[in-house]
Amino acid sequence: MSDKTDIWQGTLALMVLKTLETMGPQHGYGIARRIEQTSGDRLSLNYGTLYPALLKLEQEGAIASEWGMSDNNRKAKFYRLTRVGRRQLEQETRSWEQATAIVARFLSPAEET
Amino acid sequence: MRRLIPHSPTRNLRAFWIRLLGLFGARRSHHEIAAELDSHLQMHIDDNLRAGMTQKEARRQALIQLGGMEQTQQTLRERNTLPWAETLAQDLRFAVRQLRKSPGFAAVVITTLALGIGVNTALFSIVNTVLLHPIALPRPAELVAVDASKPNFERGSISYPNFRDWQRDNRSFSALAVFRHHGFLLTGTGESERLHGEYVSSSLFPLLEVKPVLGRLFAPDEDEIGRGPVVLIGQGLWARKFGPIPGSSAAR
Repeated sequence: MSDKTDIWQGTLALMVLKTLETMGPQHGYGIARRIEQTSGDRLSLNYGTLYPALLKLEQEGAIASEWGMSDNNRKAKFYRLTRVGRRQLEQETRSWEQATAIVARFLSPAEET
Repeated sequence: MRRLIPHSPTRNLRAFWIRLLGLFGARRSHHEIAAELDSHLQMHIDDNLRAGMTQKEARRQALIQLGGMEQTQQTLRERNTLPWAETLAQDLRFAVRQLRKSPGFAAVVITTLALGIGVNTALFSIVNTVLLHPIALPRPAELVAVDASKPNFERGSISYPNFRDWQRDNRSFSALAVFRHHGFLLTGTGESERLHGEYVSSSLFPLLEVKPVLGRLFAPDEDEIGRGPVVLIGQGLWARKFGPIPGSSAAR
């Protein structure tokens, strides 16, 4: 497990929103597995931190929840993206891309641009 | 790399209100939190079983990756409402219940608090005016009252001619001024009115560094004996008798 990266603070919310956008309504466990799969199993996600993040997003109005049935016929709480969440996703994607672009410039070999 | 992505204040505010409302019942119940984590655990165990683990191992692994059932529930409950506000509300309810149980004691407590607060307030207003906000005059420490001592009056008043002599011979003070209280009757501006005023020497206002809002102060020679009366009135009187004026105060 030591070669796996911990999730940076503040990025988990972004991953959750993106996951819900691509997958549609999904329960917490599904979101967690999807995040791990998307990362190519290179992220170690402590599932216990996912639920507070989900609750926070719901309180902020970015996602809404509803009880339903999972594929394996288990009762589960499904989360879906709200309009506010969609906007938040767009906005945070933009700022994330900006931030990484800036960092990348610092790390790339010096080149006159 | 803590906060590359800024957080919007409106979103924070919304979350705060929802957590505050959580104090009054509009929240996920503890039961619901437990149910959601339970369902998570079950799904994870199912997956682990499919991956070939024993029932016991499947459960153990699922719990480890969740970071403990109890801890996770605790974190969620804390995020659910505002923990400090919840504790505060509990303490308040407890205090009210206790006070209701023994009204006599409650009365004593309330009286003690009321007296304590009252006395403190009274004392503070004295300290505030005397120590913290002394008279609004420049260098109040240098200001002294001078009296004329006479056989029957240790602190007697002084006549104007004597004051003029004092003023002329003064070597001790940077300036001397004199004043005497007098009642006046104001007529000719509607209803007549009794006013309290002071006869003052022309040096009084410069000494106190008082500036007129409008017009001028008394000229140095205007308190010579035999000169005509000149008057300086306050803003309140002007407003009352002569209506609103630009700035207001000081007239002949």
